[in-house]
Amino acid sequence: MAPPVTSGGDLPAQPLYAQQSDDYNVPGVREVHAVASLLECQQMATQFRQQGRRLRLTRSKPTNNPTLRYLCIFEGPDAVENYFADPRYNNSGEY
Amino acid sequence: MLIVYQSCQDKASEAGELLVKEEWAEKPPIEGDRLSMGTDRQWSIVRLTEFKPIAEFQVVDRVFLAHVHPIGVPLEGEWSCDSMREFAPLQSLEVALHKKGEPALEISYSMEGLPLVGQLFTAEPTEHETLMRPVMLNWMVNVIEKYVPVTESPYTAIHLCWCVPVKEAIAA
Repeated sequence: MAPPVTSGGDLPAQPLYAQQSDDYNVPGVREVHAVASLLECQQMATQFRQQGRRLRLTRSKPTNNPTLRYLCIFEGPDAVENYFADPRYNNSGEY
Repeated sequence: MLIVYQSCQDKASEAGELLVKEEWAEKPPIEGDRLSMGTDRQWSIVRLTEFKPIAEFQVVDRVFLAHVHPIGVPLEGEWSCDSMREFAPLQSLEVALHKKGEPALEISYSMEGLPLVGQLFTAEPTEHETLMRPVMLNWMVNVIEKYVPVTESPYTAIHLCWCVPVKEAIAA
């Protein structure tokens, strides 16, 4: 019989959202993209779904940037860091 | 009370103008009230929605959502919040605050109607024109208070997310 777990096993003491982090992008949890309009958040969500990426748009946030006016926050197991850093996916006219 | 001013249509905002901002007030706003969204241009309130607390003894007694549009600019076409509501019917508006009467730390929108949790972040421009880099802020949500609309609204709720410095949150 396995010994009883007394410390919560290997689970962190706090849920992920309550832990301090140095980067908001967390592979397998969430990724952030900057866009020019709210409509582009929707379009990006639709495109990710069509690509089969398990990500959902959970939040959008206005920025003070005159060009990239919103941040889109996606969450899901297929989140990666710097998805659009790959120049193949980094065409500003894509959305 | 807290008033959240939101542009009816994002495309109406010009350089230097905010899409959304908040203000603490003593008396309720009324439709037609004028304000600035960051430049000399005058905007006015075209629609008001009151949100009431869901429980007793919440820090803020009333919250108003004031939709605003520049004076002299025709208000034609779909509003940005209504367009997003078709995509995300449960959407809610999140206001991160530190202290009553102080400026908000951030205002954002939840597609699923869930309050803001965890550590706040902002984003800074990078050398690449279409990339911004998330930057973590030293604030973490500690208490959430929910407000629901009294009349028809594009948002199912407004959450006031009270924050504390990260070090305090971890010590607690």
